[in-house]
Amino acid sequence: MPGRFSNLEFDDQRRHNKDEGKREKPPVRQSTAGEHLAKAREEDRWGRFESALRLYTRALQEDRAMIAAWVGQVQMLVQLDECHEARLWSDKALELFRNNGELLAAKAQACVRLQDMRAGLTCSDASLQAAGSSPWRWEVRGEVLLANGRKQYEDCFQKALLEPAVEWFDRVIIARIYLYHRNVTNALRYLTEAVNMEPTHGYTWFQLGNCQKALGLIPAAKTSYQRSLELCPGSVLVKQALDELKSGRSLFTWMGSILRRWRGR
Amino acid sequence: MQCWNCGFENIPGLKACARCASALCLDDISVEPPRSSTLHLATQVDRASNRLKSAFPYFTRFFDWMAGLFPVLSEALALLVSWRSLLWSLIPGLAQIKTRRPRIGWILLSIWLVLLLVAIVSIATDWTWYLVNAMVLVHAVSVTSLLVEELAFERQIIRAAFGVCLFFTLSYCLYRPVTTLLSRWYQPIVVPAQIRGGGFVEGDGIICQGPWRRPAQYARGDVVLYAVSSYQRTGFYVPEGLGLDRIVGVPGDYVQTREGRLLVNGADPAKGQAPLGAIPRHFADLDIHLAAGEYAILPSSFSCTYHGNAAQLTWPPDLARQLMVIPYEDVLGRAVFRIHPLSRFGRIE
Repeated sequence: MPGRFSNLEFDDQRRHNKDEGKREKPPVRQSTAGEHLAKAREEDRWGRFESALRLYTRALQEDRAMIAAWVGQVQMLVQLDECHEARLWSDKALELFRNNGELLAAKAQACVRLQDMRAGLTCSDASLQAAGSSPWRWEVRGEVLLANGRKQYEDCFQKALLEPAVEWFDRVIIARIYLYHRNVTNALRYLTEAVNMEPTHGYTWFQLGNCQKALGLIPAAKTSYQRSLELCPGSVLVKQALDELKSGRSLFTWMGSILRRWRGR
Repeated sequence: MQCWNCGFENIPGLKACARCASALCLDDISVEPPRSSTLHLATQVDRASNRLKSAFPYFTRFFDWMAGLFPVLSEALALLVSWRSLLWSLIPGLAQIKTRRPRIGWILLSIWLVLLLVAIVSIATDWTWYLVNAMVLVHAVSVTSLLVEELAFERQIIRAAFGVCLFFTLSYCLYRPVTTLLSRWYQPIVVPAQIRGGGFVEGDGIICQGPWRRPAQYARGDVVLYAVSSYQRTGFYVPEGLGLDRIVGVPGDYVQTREGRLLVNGADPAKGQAPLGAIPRHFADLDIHLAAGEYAILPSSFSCTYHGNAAQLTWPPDLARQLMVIPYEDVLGRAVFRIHPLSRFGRIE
C-alpha cells in the first residue's frame, strides 16, 4: 500500500488487508510475464508475428497491466494486416489505459493502414501530447505524415532515432514502414544502418537482401543472403531466396527494379 | 492503489483512476485479441470505405446526413403502435379534435374543407395542382403537429425535416392514389384547342365518365368525348387529339349526309339528337350503315386545317367517313358536367 494512505483508518481493516494482498503481484508471475514479453519481442524481430502475438497474449495472461504487451498485440495485428481488429483491440486497451501514448500511437498506425487518415492524425497528435516520449510514437507520426503525403515524415523518423530509448530495431521498424508504403530505397538505407549497428541478427540481413533484390542490386543481395545464412544456417526462407537469386530474373523483375531505382523508391 | 497507466496513487476500492480514468481492476479482462479470417474482410471493407470517403467527401457527407435521419425514421416507425392517432390523421384536424386541441383541429379541418371545395370547383384548371398541394400541406401540418409531441423531437430542424417527408409521403401515398382512383370513375378534362363550336371553347373544364364508368353501349344524343386519329389528305390535315360531340347514329342505323343535311334512318335527327354544331361546309355525301360497335359522330365541333381555299375544297369521302364513324374503343365516355367557367356551370345536355 502506498505510503500516502498508510495513516488512513478503515472500518474493515481485515478486508483492506485482503485487498492489499490480492493486488500484490507475486514476483515469480511478473518475471514470467516479462520473459514472455522478451520472447515476443524477439519473435517480432524475426518477423514471426503470429508467434509474437501469442507470446504477447501469454504475457498479458500473467500480467494484465503490462501495457507494452497490449501495444505489442496491436502492433502484431497491424503487421498481420488485421488492421480492423487492431483498431478494435486498441480501442479496448485504451478504455483500460486512457490516453496512453504508446497505445494511441499503435491505434494511429492501425487507422492509417485502414486509410482513415483523419483518425490516424488525431490519434498521433494525442499520442505525442500524452505524458512521456518514445521512438515508437515518432515512428508512427512519421508513418501518418508519409501516408498523408506530407514531407516532414523523414524529420519524424530522425526525431525517433534521437529519443533516449532508441535501439537498432527502431531502424528496422522505420524500414518496415517504408516497405509498407513501397519506398524501398529509404527502407534499404535504414536496414543498412540497422545491420551496421547489429550485424549478428540474421533476419535483418535477410530483409536487407530483399530490399537490394527489389532494387536490382543482385550481388549485394546475394552477399546479404549469404551473411544471413551464416548467422542462421537452417533458415528455409533465406535458402529459397538464394535459390531464386541464382535461378536468374525475369525481364519484368529486371524492368521493375530499374524503374524503382530510377524513381528513387 | 497505484494506477497502471499514470502511476497516480488512488484511494483503495476505486474501480477507475481518479486522474486518468484508467481501469484499476483488470482481473476479469479478456486478453485474447479478436482475429480475422484469412481474407481479412473487415480490414478490406474498412479500407475501401475510407478510400471512398476520402475520394468523395460530399458523397460521404450526404450518407452521414442520411444516417442521421435513420433515428428519426425509426422513431416514426415506432409510432405505429399509436394506430389510433394515425387513423384519425387521415382527415386533417380530426386527431386534434379528438384529443386535446379542438380549436386547432377545427381550424385545420375548416381550411382543408374550404380548399377541397375550391379544388372541386376549379377542377380541370391550372389552379387544381396548387390547391391539391395546399390541401396536402394543411394535412402535413396537422399530422406533424400531432406527432411531434409523441415523437418528442426537440430540434426544429428535425421537425421541419419530418414535416417535409410527411408532405411527400401524403402526396404520393394518399392524395395521388386517391385522385387516380377517382379519375377512373369520373375524369376532369380541359377542352383542347381543336374543339371549336358546339358551345365549347378552349379551356372549358368538363367532367367525363372514366374507364370504370364507361357504358356498354351509348344512346343516340349522348354527348361524348372521343379520340381522333391523325389524318392527312391533299388540302386537309386533321391533328390527333380529342373530339367532343353528340352521337348521331348507333349500331344498326343508316346515316346519310346530303348537301349539308344529316339524315338518320331517312329522317332528320330528333330534338336533342342533332350534332352540337353545323355540318362542315362541302362535307362529302355519305351513305353509312353502322355495323356493331360503330357510332356516327359528325365532326361539327372539330376543327381541321385546310391548305388552300377552304371554300372550294370538297371533303374526300374516305376522310369524311373515317372522321364520322367512330369505333366503340375510341369513345372515351359521356361528358356529364361542365364545371368551368362557373357562368356556364351545369349538366351537359
